[in-house]
Amino acid sequence: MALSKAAIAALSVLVLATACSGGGGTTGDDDGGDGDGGNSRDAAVQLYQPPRGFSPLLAPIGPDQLIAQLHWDALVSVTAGSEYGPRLAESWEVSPDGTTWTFHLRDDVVWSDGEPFTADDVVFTYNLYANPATGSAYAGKFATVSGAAALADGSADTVAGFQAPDDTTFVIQLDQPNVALIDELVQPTLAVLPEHVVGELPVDGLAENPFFREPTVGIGPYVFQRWVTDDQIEFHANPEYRTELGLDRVFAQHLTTDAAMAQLETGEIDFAQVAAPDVGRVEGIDGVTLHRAEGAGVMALHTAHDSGKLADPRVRQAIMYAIDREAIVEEALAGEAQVVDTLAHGPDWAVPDGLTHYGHDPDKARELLAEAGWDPATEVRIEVVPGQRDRDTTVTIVAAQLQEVGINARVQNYQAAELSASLADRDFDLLISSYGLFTMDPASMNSRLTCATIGGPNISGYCNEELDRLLAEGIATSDQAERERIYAEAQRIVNEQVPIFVLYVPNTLAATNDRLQGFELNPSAVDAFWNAADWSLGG
Amino acid sequence: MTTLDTVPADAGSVSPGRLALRRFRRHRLAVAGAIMLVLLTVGAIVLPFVVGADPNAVDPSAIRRGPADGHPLGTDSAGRDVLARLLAGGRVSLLVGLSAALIATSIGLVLGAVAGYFGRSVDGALSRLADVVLSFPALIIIIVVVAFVGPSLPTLILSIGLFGWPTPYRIVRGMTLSLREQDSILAVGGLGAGAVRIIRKHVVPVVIAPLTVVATLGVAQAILLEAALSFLGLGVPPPTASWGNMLNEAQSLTILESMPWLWLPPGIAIAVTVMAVNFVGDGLRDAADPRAVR
Repeated sequence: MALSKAAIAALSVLVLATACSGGGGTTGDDDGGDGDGGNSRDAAVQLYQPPRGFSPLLAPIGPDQLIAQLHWDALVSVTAGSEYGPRLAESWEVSPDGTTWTFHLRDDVVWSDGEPFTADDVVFTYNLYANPATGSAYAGKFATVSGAAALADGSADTVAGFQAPDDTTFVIQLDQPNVALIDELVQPTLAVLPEHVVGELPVDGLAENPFFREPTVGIGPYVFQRWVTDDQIEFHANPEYRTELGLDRVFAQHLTTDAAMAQLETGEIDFAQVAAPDVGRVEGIDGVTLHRAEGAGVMALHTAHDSGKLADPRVRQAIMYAIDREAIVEEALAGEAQVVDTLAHGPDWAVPDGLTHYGHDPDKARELLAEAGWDPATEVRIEVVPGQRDRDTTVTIVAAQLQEVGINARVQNYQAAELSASLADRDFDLLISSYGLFTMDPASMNSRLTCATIGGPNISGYCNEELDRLLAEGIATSDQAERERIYAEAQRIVNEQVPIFVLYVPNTLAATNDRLQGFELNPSAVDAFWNAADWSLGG
Repeated sequence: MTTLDTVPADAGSVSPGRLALRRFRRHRLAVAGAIMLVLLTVGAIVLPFVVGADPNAVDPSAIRRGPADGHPLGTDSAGRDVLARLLAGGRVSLLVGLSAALIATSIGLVLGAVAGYFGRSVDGALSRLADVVLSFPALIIIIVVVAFVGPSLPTLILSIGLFGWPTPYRIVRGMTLSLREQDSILAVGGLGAGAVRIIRKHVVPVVIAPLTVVATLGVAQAILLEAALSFLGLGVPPPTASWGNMLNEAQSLTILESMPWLWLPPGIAIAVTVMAVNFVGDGLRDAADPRAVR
């Protein structure tokens, strides 16, 4: 299995490489070229890594999140303006004490097979999310919902706190107040599943059910049709979608940065993410528009804290001092990023003054390593899924700069499939990953740093009781001044303990062919297809 | 290529080795190739000490700078000195080329001699195996092997070597087949010499000359394969420099179009080396041709 996947990946690289070196002679390519038929209403979009499938229960990876926006839909999601925006829920409110969240759902939505969408589907799906038996990565997210504990210990079949008083109302009842619960629902965007189809499947291990490889029913604008190849998917317009759609088919395909740039130029694809070094070039291509948004997510290194390798906070600080983040941003990323010193770098009120700035200071790094008694022979792997040029470059530089201060760092390339395995086993030293939306509410750091979400979004397995207490307090408090005080304290801990090595906040960059109209760039790179329903072809 | 000149009077006093050397020296391109190779080898081994720059030292404050003082060939995407990497890459490329060709030739020699000497079912089995290996495109197979085992220098050398043996094998087998039937070999066998002794003392010395030619061409092939694999990201694992690795950057159109210093030097280095090796191989073939008089 691992062999065939890796080999197919390698062979497709080979094909792409020959296609690229062939220069102009690639128009006959029937593999990715389906999008460029002159009068067809097809669009082709890039996925920056190979997609796994459509299971919303698994720990999220970028490409899966992207294709989920075509096929599934969610209650709420982030808008282009970095706000919580309506989707299947038209509006929502939270009770003054922060324990009851009420979502008012649209009444004009049907699944792609014609079945109506109701609040029961939402209750059904959220029960799956909260149920560890399904293999859900989000059980920790909903641990404070009334009755979640009863579900976990088997004394109840469903979570009492998820309720559907009528067909268009969904209520979440919490045991402990959470005024920022909505932030949990937008990152990642939590898809809603059809009870009449998924309800037939066994609950145990549902996350890995083969249904999610080839789902038969969807609710998004473009529903899954077939896997064209192992990393290309064909979507057809959802005949039941609530608005008129501008496209007939969408092809989503994994392409490396370089291949995507080449295909963007030849018009074979209509959307691609852009690496910072290519910005100048993309701006110069006729018929291609560059979209830029100040990023909300981080590019960060993660260590498996339970491995104990980097257990000493001084070692982690030394790593921060050893890396010249400013130079990486300025030179390798052509200035298309910002350097920040804490995970939740926004909104402004949530970032206190006086945080330690980890500037480039190799001497200080050596000093800290010496204090911590660091053994220079300890090998530190830097794990990366190669293919995105700015990330690859960053990793190369980081490895060399860590070696400079006496850390035996080595870059370890991964296939995407191996990555999920090492995430599950928490077997990594410095895993580079980019994700998140950290600009709307500081509670956005909760899922990444609290003990309860280990095994889910807290991929490093970081657990700090004091931080846990503060973060719990932060979402239980609705008084703004009080929240500010609590988060200032929490941010100082994160800043000093360095649970996650935040390298930079990359600008979100994407390019679209001018044929593709209606594309609106979301600051969250993994939400790039959030308004696919508005896409159409013109020009 | 055979010259039609009359045989010089002193031909009988010149050893075959000298004759071959003389024929080789007449092949101008081969001599140029040989000189080039010596220069490249010396350059790859000695120059890194002269240049002094660490091929893996990054300088994030000078990324993708064109040729300038301090960096005669500019810097790459991680701010590493291109010249230093070119020289370090030369070591890797030559190492891969020579070791892989050596492995392929050794395997080919042993199997070829065995197949040729014993004939019958041994020959049949080995020759079909060679056909099987030859019928697959080596690059594709090696990609699969590397994807499975994981890229590393030894993996690369071994897999290129293991897939390169059929060509030398065929040469050795063919020559051994005909040698075996010669009266002298039959006589040696009749006198009680065993198979190993006959192969070692009477077959190997004869096939070594044509085998050298094949081995040389194998070096060129191995260098090209290494470059191709590294270009695809499946060869020498980063950050170790190799010419193919350096070319990998040229997959980006931005770099291909506006930063020639990143890919021209390794590209030229590969072309020059492979050409030089092939010329030397040509020269060796002419020199080793027993029908040539001088």
